[in-house]
Amino acid sequence: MIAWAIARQTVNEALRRRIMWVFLISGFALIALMPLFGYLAPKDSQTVLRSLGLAAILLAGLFITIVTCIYLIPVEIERRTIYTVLSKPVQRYEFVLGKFLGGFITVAINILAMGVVFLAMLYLQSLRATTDQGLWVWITSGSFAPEMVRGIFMTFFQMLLLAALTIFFSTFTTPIVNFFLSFGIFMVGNLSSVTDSLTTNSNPVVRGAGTLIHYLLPNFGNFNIQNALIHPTNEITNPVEYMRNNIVYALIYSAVLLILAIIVFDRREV
Amino acid sequence: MATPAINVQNLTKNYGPVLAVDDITFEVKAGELVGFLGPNGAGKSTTMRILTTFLPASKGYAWVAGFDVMYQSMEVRQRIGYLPESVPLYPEMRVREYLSYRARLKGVERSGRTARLDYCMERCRIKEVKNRLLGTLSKGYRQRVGLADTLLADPPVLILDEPTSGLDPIAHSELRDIVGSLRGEGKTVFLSSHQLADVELICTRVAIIHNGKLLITGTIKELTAGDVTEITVQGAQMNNGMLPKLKAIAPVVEQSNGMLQMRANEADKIAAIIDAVRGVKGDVVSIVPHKRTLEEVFVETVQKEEGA
Repeated sequence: MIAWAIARQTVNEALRRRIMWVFLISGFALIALMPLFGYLAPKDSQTVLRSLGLAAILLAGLFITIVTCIYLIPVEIERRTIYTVLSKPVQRYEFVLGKFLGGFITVAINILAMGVVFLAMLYLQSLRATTDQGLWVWITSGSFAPEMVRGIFMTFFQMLLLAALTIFFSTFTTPIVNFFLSFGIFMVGNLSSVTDSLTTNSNPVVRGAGTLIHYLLPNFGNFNIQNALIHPTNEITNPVEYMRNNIVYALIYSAVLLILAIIVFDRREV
Repeated sequence: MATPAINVQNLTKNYGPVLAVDDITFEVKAGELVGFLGPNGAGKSTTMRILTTFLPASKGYAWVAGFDVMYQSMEVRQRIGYLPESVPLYPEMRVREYLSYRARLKGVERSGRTARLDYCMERCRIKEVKNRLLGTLSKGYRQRVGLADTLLADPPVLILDEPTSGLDPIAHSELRDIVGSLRGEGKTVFLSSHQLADVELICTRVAIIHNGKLLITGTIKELTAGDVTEITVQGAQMNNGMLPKLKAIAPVVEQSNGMLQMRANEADKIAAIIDAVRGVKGDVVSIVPHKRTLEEVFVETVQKEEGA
């Protein structure tokens, strides 16, 4: 209950931050500009639109997650509001959980908003009738792209994992260090196919480092199913099982990171 | 015997080699308003942070409302209201929104939350700014918002760290009056302050700490007891060798324009001063009784410790 109160306050606070709105509006702008790119490749406009839309959500989601979560705990310490929180009947784990929950709800609201705009744009692009045929005929002549929801859904869990990682680092690093660490790990984690190939390298040093990186760092690459969604040739054999496994992976990995964050924060003298 | 509201036994806190609090022991009875005094860096805030369970002690024990601050920290936190120095607030939140958040953190029942918020805002005279952003409030209002926050869950023990520091005279006296009135509500107030006149006015007892050591505790009446006589003398030879002789008899509290003001509380010392002044053809301007103030007690106590 207390974690929920902290989460609510965190969402309100995060939604008031201008930097988050800059990234959200940039995401909206990228999605809104999709049709322009579609005109550049008229034969394959739907592919371009889908690809760019999902990429825009991922990119904006990435920056929103990092800039939202890196400040949540350090700013409470810096402006000393933490004194007034932890002197109340609030456990430290409740504080960390509340901050994580609030940060992630903020990110989820943003992804949802961008997802809705993206699906609406795709729908508008798919309208076949013209306005001359009547407004109702025109508005109902399009088709939804339900498979795109899966892409947005996976981005959602990718950001959950990133939020947990950022919160973990924020318990012992400064926001600037956290930004580079989280961003760097996200990038490396997205290259899971590369790190996977390193695990079988003939050089034992490279193989050892590759194995460590591949298994220790979160595998963000597995959440990128855009290719499979957009290009039918790359379809995943069993998409439900694939998604379920990766969602379970994100939940377990995030839980472990949060437990570590709580342990670190519990021992820290703030 | 009633459980003390605050009971500190041989409390010590060190930050590495720095000893912030050095083996202090004191008690605050329930319903008392106790001033915790000391120069900057004396260890007041550290002691208060230990009492609020925010910092662990290095050695010793402390109980608040009968609960150990180390091992029963949640029970302690449920029974205290803590106002830190320069109340840290969320600048982008509105007053009512902030207090509502605090009330949820403190577990104030939802059914009575609105009434409690209204009561605390009324009590601390912040109703007129309830919709203002915290970042736009003056320091006086910020302190009052902080005090309203401490009262939200109706805790029996209030720990206030320099509540009136940096306020203008009006905001200062208003806040002092609010704090003073808490005694009538049966609350135990443990407050640190550099405003000794305020402490003298509203507190029942004081504890003076310096360099982490507790120097003295007692009621204001006990500490300021023993009126002294203030003797003002003047004379041309006052600066020519006479001054050290007079200083050897009693302390000089002021010296200006050939006049000296001295204080003594024993008849033979007063007589010695008068004889010495007359011996150099000086004049005794006045001999008046002087009531000791808390400030004088504080300065004397701290200076004596520094001298030692």
